[in-house]
Amino acid sequence: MRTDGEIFERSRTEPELFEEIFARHGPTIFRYLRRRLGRGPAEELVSETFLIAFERRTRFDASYGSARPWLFGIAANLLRHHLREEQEHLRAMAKVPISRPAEGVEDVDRLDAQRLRPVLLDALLELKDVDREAFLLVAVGELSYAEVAYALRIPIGTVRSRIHRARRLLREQVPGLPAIEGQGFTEGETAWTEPS
Amino acid sequence: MDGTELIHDLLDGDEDAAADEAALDRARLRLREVFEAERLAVRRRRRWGLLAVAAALGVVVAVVVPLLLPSSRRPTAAAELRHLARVAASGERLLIGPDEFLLMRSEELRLESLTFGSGNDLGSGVTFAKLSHLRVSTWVTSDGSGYLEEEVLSSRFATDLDRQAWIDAGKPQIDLPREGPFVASGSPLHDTRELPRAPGPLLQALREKAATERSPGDDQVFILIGELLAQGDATPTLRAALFEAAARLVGVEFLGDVTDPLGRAGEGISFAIGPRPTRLIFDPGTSMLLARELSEERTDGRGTVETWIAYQPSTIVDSPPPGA
Repeated sequence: MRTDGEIFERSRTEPELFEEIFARHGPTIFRYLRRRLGRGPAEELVSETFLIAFERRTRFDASYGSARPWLFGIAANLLRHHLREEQEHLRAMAKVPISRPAEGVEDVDRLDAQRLRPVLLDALLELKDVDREAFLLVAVGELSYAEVAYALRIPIGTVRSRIHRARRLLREQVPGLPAIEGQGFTEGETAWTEPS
Repeated sequence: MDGTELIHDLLDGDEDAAADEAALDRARLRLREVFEAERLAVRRRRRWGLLAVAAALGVVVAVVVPLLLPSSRRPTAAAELRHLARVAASGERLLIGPDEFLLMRSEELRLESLTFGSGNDLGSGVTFAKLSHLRVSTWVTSDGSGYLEEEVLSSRFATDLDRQAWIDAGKPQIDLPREGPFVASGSPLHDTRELPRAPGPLLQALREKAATERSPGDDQVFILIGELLAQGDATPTLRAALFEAAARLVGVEFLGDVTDPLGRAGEGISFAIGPRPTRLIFDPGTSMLLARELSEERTDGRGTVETWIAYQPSTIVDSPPPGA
């Protein structure tokens, strides 16, 4: 199978090959955008993300391997023009009952989760835009800290401090919030001591 | 359920696999059109490469004929606008980072009507018009808010009657510095996010926008296109579509080589239909809009005045103006 870099390279003379890049990463980017903005704006922005990527395909550094973080970087830049829509979307999501209800027996976890939703939503909205951006790229986009640094063109130390700040604020604002874990967070914190 | 799952659940409230798939399919189809257009363009370039040798044989004809019939080589406005569309499509997009500003600068000769008076009704004041030579700088953040600064370089009254009206009004101070922040909803820029990227729908949207915000007519659409092309936040795709949309207007004329108000060389495209001719001047190498020249009607109905705006390239900067 061709690497992303090889496809980018060949798409200079065979532009139709770029559709393979969309097939590989379009659904992931779309899902991330949908979770932040809702389906309609996500559809628009995923198109624009890949249009920009296509226009700039000669600038992708093939040595990096996967184009995923580079594409997330483009999507993140576009998202900054839609912060108000994101707020509206998050508020709408708070009113939706939690998905996949437990069958048969009532699931205490889920009832707790349902109660936490509005508080968690408010806390997410209270995060600084740059902190929420870095945090959601890991929590929702499932990027590693290094990939977030690459996507946002910022030092990895800045990524760590932004995510640390976001997690701390969420813990403080949402009493009872279960631990925010996941591979991205675990790897990102390796060999790193939280600032005192 | 850990915190991450909870966040996923919170944001997945409207999850619908079929609707997602349909949205992705629509996005894929839109992109496929772009890839296909580029594939044809690549093929054309290859074909032209193969024909290069044959074309070389025709060089003599290509050189001699235009010398004999110089007017036959003059491109049409539509052809020139489509050339500019191709140049624009390969341009760079300026992306504004979280702590960055898009800085747009221009110099302009602006017609300003000022009213001074003590009455409650508009008709009781003294109105006069002046032409202000301004240097305008606009800093825009990624959320659309920003800061505007206008420096008055010089100003003069449009006519002697306007000067007399100013004297009658007690010579009020008129060249005050103007600067201040603006919120996204009060931005002097057009919101480009909702504009279609395909030329046909874009032209339709611009006609509706012109009719709603100004007055109906393609002369207003042409001015609107000029304003959008001057915006530093317009994407290469949108700029290409704007040129394509302009090419579809009946009434555009190619003026050939012209000089803008700052003395820069470019190519002129005019829209000659309607009461007030408008001229746009482009750099054919970059597709940048260098200037817009307009024959503007005075609000008091006392004739028209020639005004212009000359644009500088937009840049990304990491700080607002001092004092902002």
